[in-house]
Amino acid sequence: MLKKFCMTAVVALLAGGFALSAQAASTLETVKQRGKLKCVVAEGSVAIAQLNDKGRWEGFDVDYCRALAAAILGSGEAVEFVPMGFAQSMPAVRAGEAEVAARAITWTMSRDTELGFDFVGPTLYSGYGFMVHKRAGVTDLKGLNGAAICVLAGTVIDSQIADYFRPRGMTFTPVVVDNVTNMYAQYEAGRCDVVTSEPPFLAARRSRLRAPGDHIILSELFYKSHMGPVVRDNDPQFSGIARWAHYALVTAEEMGITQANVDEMMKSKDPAVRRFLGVEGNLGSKMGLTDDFPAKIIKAVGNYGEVWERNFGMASPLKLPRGINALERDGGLQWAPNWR
Amino acid sequence: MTILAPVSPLGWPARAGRWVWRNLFGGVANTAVTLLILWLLVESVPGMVRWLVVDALWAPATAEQCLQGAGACWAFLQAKYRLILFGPYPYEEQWRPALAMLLFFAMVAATCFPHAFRLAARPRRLLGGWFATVALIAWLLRGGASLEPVEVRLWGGLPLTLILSVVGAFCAFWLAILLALGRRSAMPVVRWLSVAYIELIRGVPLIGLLFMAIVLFPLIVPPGVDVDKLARAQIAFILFFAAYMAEAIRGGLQAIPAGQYEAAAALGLGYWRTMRLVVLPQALRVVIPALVNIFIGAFKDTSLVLIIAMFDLLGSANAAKSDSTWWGLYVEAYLFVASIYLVFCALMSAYSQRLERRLGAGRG
Repeated sequence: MLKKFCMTAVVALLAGGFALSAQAASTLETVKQRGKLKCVVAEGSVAIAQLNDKGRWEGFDVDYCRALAAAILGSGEAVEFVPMGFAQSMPAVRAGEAEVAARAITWTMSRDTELGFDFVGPTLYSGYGFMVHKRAGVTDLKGLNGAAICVLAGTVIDSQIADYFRPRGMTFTPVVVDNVTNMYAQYEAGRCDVVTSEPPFLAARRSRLRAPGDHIILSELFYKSHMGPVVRDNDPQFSGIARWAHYALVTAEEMGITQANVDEMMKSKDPAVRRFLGVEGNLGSKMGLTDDFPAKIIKAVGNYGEVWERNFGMASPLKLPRGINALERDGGLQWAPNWR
Repeated sequence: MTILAPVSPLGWPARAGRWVWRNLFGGVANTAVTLLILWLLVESVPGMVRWLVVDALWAPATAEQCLQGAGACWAFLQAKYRLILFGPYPYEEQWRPALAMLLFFAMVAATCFPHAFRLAARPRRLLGGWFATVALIAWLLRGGASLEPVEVRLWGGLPLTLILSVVGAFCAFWLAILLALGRRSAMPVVRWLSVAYIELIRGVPLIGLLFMAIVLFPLIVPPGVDVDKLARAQIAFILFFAAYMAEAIRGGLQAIPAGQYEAAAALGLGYWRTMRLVVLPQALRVVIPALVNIFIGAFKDTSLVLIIAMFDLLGSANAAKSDSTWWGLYVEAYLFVASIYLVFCALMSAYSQRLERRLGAGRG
């Protein structure tokens, strides 16, 4: 009797498993059915993904998640944020635990090809530089020979530094720290001579040190890091949607469409604007979305420039200049293909 | 006959002086330790008071002012304490987990001090109270039926820590009893399975088990099957603590004299009734201090869920420090969390000492 029951249970389980894996719907259908987009974000990363005083998610990558959710489901609130450490984030997308990981992942060849992800953007162009104590008397990268450098555990930065140092006959001592806050605390306490991060973050962080004037940021970068959200590369339709959600943000900035004026712009006579906002044509519905999905995105988070200003720019505590993330027409690298 | 306290002819200042002299300066070693401690206090207390109170900065202070200042930044905690206590639970609904915790604490107090609540000889009423409270807490947290529903993934902060540790310890306790009995069973298969389970789980670090539950689990089950992260972590905790509790309980079982088993057999009791009526009540009483000890460990170990990105008390403190508005501040958040842990653990350990004393008295 018990044996029979067990056998039945096993068979039922197996059958259920196969049925479920056979049903694997397209990513877009899965999201629409669930009514929520699952988006992996960092579990607490300044200006990238952070919880505000009221427990609401904010940040540059968070805004991308909201934009993508608005494109697919019409609302920037239709996101289930899945906070995750860096190491788990990509396997989670692979395993289908989430549709997209937006947590400042650097675009590399192996991640794009071997690991089977599609990158969006880059939504953020960046690189790595050094900040040093002024008393160390260092003015360029050559002066860093033999320095103790604070690096974050679990990143590839120490091997990047090694790659830069070794051919130049230079050495360094890595001081491995477990989180960003601790890294700057160690640096300020003098346990390492040098701290490395993206220069804008270094600058923002320097303003919070006890004596900002005692630290200099070297102008040279030793490593480029261009980042963007990733999606699985086995669903071209969804990859396209993820990419064009970002391009919609950039295009909106190019066309001067903002969160405030988007309703007015819907009445615009400009055929390019009308096509972009879905007043004319059917570009959106051919992708499986609504024709007015760019308008939904802008209503949810604004255009790329507004997202930048809110999280990194003058409207944020970081007060970073746009730098290479300005629009291409302003001398930056952010651009979008033609919307047609 | 009553013993009267000897009345000292001296007044209290002289008696106090004598006490100090005898207890703090009796002998060279004692004097040295007293002086060392006095010196440490003089060195540390004024600085601490200055940092905590005198130089501390309150509400309108900004992060920049705090970071330039010399004292604690209570303004940071004033802005973040609700995030730390409740994590990403919707802000307007945070009265619900707060109320749920109060209910829970009230029930714990009633259970620990039944005399004060007139529940001493009324286990049924207490049990009924617990069922009602648990149902009420679940309703408060989850919502539904006139309350806004809140998804489990948004639970966080102190309630999450309490759920993980209390539910974990409760379920682990029952599993542990079965494992302890299994390990002492006469049936070889049952015995070996129990031994294998206990040794395997005790041989694996908790962090490994948590990673298995979070990272490996979705790779094993077919896509589309979605088990809550809280449930997965909870199961990992139960499995882990059951192994430790089982060993504690086994110690208790071994402390029961063979005569008790034989007497139960002579009364014609079967295995389960022997265990339920004779052996376990005595064995569990012996191991209460050990179990409380494991529970205190479990309570603190729940903070490991931080590494699987759950916002328990410590996780939400980490989230609080990575807000760009308050970037660079963290000591206050950790101090806040540490004092919460300290209060809980001190209360638990005080209660377990009380239990120990009571049990010891009953034995003499």
